[in-house]
Order: sequence, then C-alpha cells, then structure tokens
Amino acid sequence: MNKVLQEQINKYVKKTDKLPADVQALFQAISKSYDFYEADSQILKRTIEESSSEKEALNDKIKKEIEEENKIVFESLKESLAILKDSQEENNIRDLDFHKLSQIAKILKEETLKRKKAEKEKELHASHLESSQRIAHVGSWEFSLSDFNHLNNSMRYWSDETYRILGFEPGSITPSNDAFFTRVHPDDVPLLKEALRRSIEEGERYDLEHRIILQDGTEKIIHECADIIVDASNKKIKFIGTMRDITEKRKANLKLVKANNELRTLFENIREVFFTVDMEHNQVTQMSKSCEDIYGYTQDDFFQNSNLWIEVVLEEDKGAIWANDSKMREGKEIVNTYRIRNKNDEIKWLETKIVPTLDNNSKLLRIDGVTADITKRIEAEQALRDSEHRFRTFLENSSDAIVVVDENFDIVFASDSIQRVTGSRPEEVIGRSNAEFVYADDRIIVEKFLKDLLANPGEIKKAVYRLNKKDGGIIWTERVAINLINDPVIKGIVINFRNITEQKEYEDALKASNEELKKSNGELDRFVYSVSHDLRAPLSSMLGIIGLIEVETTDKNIAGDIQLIKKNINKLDGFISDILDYSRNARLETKEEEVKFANLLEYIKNNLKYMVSSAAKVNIRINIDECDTFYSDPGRMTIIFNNLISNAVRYSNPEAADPFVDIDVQSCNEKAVITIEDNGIGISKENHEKIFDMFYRISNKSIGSGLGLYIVKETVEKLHGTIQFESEPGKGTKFIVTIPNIRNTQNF
Amino acid sequence: MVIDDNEIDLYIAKRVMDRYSFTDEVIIMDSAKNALSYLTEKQSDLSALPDLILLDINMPGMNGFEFLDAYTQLPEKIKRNCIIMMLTTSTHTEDKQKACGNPYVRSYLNKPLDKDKLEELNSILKDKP
Repeated sequence: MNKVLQEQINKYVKKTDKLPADVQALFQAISKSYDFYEADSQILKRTIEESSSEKEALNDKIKKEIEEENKIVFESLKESLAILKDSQEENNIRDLDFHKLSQIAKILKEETLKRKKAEKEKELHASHLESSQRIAHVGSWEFSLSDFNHLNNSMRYWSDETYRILGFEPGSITPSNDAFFTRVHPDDVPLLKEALRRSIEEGERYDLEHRIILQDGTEKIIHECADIIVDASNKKIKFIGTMRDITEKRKANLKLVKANNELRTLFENIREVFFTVDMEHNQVTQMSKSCEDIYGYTQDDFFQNSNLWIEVVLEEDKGAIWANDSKMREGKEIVNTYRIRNKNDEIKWLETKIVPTLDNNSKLLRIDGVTADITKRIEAEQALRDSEHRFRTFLENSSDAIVVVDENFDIVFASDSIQRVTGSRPEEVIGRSNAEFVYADDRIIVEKFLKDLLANPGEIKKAVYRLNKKDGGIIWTERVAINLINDPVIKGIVINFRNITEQKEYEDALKASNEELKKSNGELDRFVYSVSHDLRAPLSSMLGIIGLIEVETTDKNIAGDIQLIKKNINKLDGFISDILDYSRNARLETKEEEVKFANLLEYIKNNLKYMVSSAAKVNIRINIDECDTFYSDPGRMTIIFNNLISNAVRYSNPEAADPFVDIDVQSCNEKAVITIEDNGIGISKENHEKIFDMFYRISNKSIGSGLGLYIVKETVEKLHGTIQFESEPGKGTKFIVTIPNIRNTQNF
Repeated sequence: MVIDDNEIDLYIAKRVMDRYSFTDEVIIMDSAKNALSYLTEKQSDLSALPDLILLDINMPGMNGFEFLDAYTQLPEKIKRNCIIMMLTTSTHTEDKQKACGNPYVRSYLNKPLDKDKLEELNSILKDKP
C-alpha cells in the first residue's frame, strides 16, 4: 500500500483492515496510481533538470498538466473518502456513492495507463537526449543568473557529455565555473569572461570558439552557444548553453583547406591540361589554364569552340584519334598520341588520356582527360633512336669489324660486321682465342702487339697483320686498338680492324712498279751517262787533234778549214750536253744540298774560258751577299748559271768598249735572288716571248742548240723558282732568277 | 803518267806535252789496272814514280774512281810526291764532286788537253809542296 494513501486512509478510516472487501481492489488500484505519481514526479524533476531550455517549456507543461489532473483526482478522491467516512459513520453507503467511487476508479485507471505511457516516453526521451549528446559530442550546461555575482558557485548543471568534453568522469565533481575555467586555455580565459559578461549584461549572443587544455595536456577546440532564459516577468533567470568539441572538425577542416590549396596549386602549375567535355551537348565544361602553354589558345577559346582541340591536330594524325573514338564510346580508357600545330605555329607532340563516363544505357555522357606536351620526350626518343640507328648502321655497314678481347686475349665481343671481314659470325668467334684467327707467320707480331697494349692502358696502338678467313683465305688487316681493361663497362682491349688486302696488294704493286721505274730510271741515267761519254769522247779527241794541227800548220787555208771543223764540233758537243742536261733535269729527283755560290761561280767562270772563245774579252764580275746557308740542288743551279752566263758571254756586244757580265747573288733564309746582267747585243722585243721555247734560236748565226733557255726555264720550275728578264737590243739583257731556300720551305 | 783507255786521247796528251815541253818523261797507261801494277812494282824506285797522274774516269775494267779507291790503299811513299788530276770528257756535276772529294785529287779538267790547260797544270805543280 502506498505510504501517502495509507496515511490518507488512516486519517479517515481508523482501521485499514476494517475496509469492506469490495473496496479492497479499488484501494489497491489507487495505491498503484500513487506510486506512479511519485515516480512521475521523480522523473519529471530529473528531466526538467537535464533538459535544455527548449525542453523546459514542454516539461513544465507536462508537469502542470499532470499536477492539475492529479489534483482533480486527488480532490475527488478526498471528497469521496470524506463521503465514505460520513456514510461509514452512518453505516450507510449509498448506491450513489458507490457509483461515484466506481467512476473515480475508472478515471484513476485511465490515468494510471496514461502515466505508464508517459513514463515510457520520459525514459526514451532521457536516453535519447543522452545518446544524441554523446554522439554529437555536444554537451550542455546551465547556471543560475539570480546569484550571478557569485559566478563560481552558480553553476548548477553539466550534462554527462560536458563532463566528458572537459575531461571529467560524469558526476565526479560538482559543476562549477571554477572547475570549468581550470580547463580553459589560459590565453582564452579573458576572452571568454568578456563574452559572458557582454552576453549577460548586454544581451549579445554568446557564440564563440575557444581552446581548452585537458589534464594530460591535450588541446581541444570548443564551440559554445548559450542563451539567457527569462521568466514570465522578463527577469533573467538562467543561462543555458551547449558546448561542442570541434577539434576533429577543425583539424579536418585545416587538412581540407591545405589539401585544397595543394590541389589548386597543382592544378594551376602543372603543365598538363585537364579537361572535361559534356558529350551530350558537345560542350567543353572544364579546361585548365595550362592549355595556353600548350595550345596558345585560352580557356575561353576552348569553351567557345568545342572542336578546337581537333582542329589544331595535324591532318595525318587525325586518323589515329578517330580510330580510338569507338573504343572510347564503349567506355574504355584511351590514350592518344598526336601532333598539333598550335596558335604560335609550333608543332607539338601531345599525349591525351581520356576516361569516358557512360549512363545506364551505355550512352556517352562526358569525358574527362589530361593532355600532356610530350614534344621534348618524343624528340629525345627520336634523337636516341636516330643515334642508335646511326651507330647500328655504322657497325653493321662499316668495313671495320670490332672485337674486344680480355686479358687472356680471348674474344669476348665481336661486332656483326666481323662476318663481312672474316666470314665468321660473331657467335663463332666469341669465347675463342684471338690467336686462332691470326695467320701463323704473324702470331709473334700479334702477341707482341697485344702485350704492348696490355702494358699501356688507354694508349692507342696500330698494327698490320694477316688473318685466316673462315673460307681458308688470308687477308691483310690494319687495326687500331686500345686497352680499356680498366674501364668498368668495356673491361677489355677494343680492337677495330679492317680488311686492307686490296689496299695492301695495290701498295705492293705500286711499290714494285715504283722499284721498276726507279730501276729503269737508273738504267736510263746510266745509259744517258754512257751515251754522253761515248758521244762526247770522240768529239773531245777530235778537238785535241785539231788543237795540235792548229799550232803546227802554217797553211792559212788549212787553218781556216780547221776552225770550221772546230766550230761545228763545239756546236755538236754543246747540243749533246744540252740534251743530256734536259733529260737529266726532267728525270732526276731534286737534291737538297748546300749551294756554295762562290765555288760554283768560280768553276763556271773557269770553264767558260775553254767553252766560249770570246770569254777572255768579257769582264765577268761576281757579287755574292749571303746571310744564310742556301739549300737547293747544286747540279741544277749549275745548269742555270752555266746557261745564263755562257749566253751573256756568247752574245756580248763586240762593239762595246767594256763588255761585262755582272752576276749578283742575294741569298737569305727564304730565297736566293740571282741577277745576271750584261751589256750584250740584247734581244729584240718580238723575240721576248719565244726565247724560252724549245729549239728556238734567234738567228741561224746562233751557236747554241736552241735548248739553253728552255732548259733554264724547266730547271727553275723544277726548283719551284721564277725567272724574269728585261732586254733591249744593243743595250743588254738582265735575267732575274729567284730560287727558294728549301731548308725553310715546307713544300719539299 | 796519263791513264786513259782511249788511244787517241793518250796520243794527244803525249803530243801536247811534248810540243810544249811540259815534262821529260810521259808514262802512258792504257788501263787503270796496268797503272796500279806499275806503281806497285816501282814503289821502291823513286825515280820511276810519277809526279803527276792525269786520270780518265770512263774506262773499261777499272774506272777512274775505282783506281782512286785502290790508290788510297797504296803505301805512303808512292803517293808522297804525286798529285792526281782528272782529265775527262764528263761534265757531270756528280763526277766532278765525287772526284774533288778525294784528298789525292787536286784538279778536274775536261778534255781535250791543250796549251791553256797545260799552263794551269804548271801553275798547280808550282804550288806543290
């Protein structure tokens, strides 16, 4: 039996056990109802305390309703019991009263059901509130404003989640502003207090973020919102607020902002062009800014002309793109590589990756893609291919073969071209000893060559030796080799060789024919020498005899005849000498010897006395200025001097008072300039062009062979010199010969 | 002494020398070989050895240069009072250079021998030590 009910019954009915049996059930029901009421009150009390301001009004309303209803029940019950007392006293309970009681019981029963339902709702409500706070990380709190001046003690309520947010076990401490502020970040305390003040005193909305520091040092960011609750008389009674832990959200936000910034930077700075095309409407919807770098066209250009991307593609490359189109429409990712001519008329290689998006009916909705400028890559690849191709072509087509041998002279590499040279394929020679392929007679040379290479790493060595061909033939090879055994990549002696058999044969043939030529030249020289002796010896003998007759005869006629014979013999002798000089000049190699001008000229001057009868009358003057030793061919220099001087003497002017020949030699380290000047009969102008011609003689009276000046000219040319002359009939002739000093000339 | 294979040249040489009274005695040698034999034979007979040898170059058997090589090997007493002059038709510079390179050769003359050349011989002989 409910305590309150018991007391009430006891008040009216002295003895409970005296209650009539038929009302026992009724009182049981009333007792239960009382129990519910008490429980309700407890729940309400707690709910009101726990609920936020929004729930307060509802709770109040429910409380009022319940209180009022209970009041009615309570009042009517009181009344009924009063009647019951009266009737008990009279021992008379009227039907009416029973009727009334049963009605009350009915109401109570209904009320009890209502309470049960409400209790369930309250439980649900409370647990729901609890869970939602926990899930949302939202805590709630309130404090009374009636004693706001004692802020520290005015805190009345923290929800469980508020405890948790602030790092306390729910219910472990008494909520207080002091406890709250111990958790607030010291820097944020003034801000927070000011906000509270302004909100309470000035009615500003309390809505802020601040930091808290938990006992373990964890920093959290809290978002708080609060409102002032006023009563009916508009008096501020309490301050109710929520607090939310937004640390994760803020952190996530920061991360998101950072990621966004990174993405934006990436998007703006990458050279690739990202694009999206709405394929239903053939409209470019996105195009990254870098399109300008690649295409030269702006984003707007692409937005306005959806076909621009294909319009710039080179005609010959469009086919490949169309070929991929159907694949793309099937929803497959594609990659196109093609060239464009951009706005600046530059050809660029592009690579575009496209990801298509289809709808449920396999209709192409949109494509997303990225286009990269791969010109540099293609160029580099092309260059690499070219150089590889060149190198391979070079190796395959070169007449040179390359082998690499190790320190034991075993072949570790052979180029393909080795087959062309030796007939053996690379795989037939690799692994075998280099010596196996060398012609037996040359093995010693080859061993020496390889040992020499081994002893001198990095030095280039050359050798020529014979190899055995696969077909048994023998070839001459010329090889250039370098020891790269210390090179980490090569690790061997690289030998580059080629077949020089033909060249060698040709060289040998040339050498042989040269030898033959030399031989026949020598023979010819000996022949010429003998002929000159055999032809001239009888002439000089005849001259000797004539000389004897000359002095011994007194007969003038004989003497005259003898002179004629002598003159003709001299002419014949000169002629033979000239022809011999000419033939020797043309055939013999030039010599490089010191030319002693003084000795040479003295000898010529002496010889002239015997050769030219008029020599005695002519004054031959010699002047030599030598500042360096002169090198040339003395034999040929003699021919030049001899001819020019003898001509000068021979054609001296018999009428001149003082016939002379002035010989002047200016010799230095570069050249010798020889001037031979006479005051002889001279050469008439019309003959100037002809005097160097072969067999040209000015007149029949001329004693010479007509070869003299021709030989001079030929000889001067042979010595790489020059000859000039000036002449005037009756006055004289001047020849200027310049001969290089071959000691200082590279031409020889 | 005149060494020459050509009879006419030997004849001319002798005639010219006699004509101009160049010397008391002319020894005629028709080959270099014979000349060498003579010199070797007469090496102890100083009066029989020549003061001057006129030497031709082109001769069959032993030529002038070969004679010079052999002459170099002869005992000093034979060569002491003797000088050699070349008398040849060859005007080749090579011949002249080769001959003048020999220490025993004093001069190089071209044939034929005549009065002027004898005078030149005389002037050289006068300088003879």
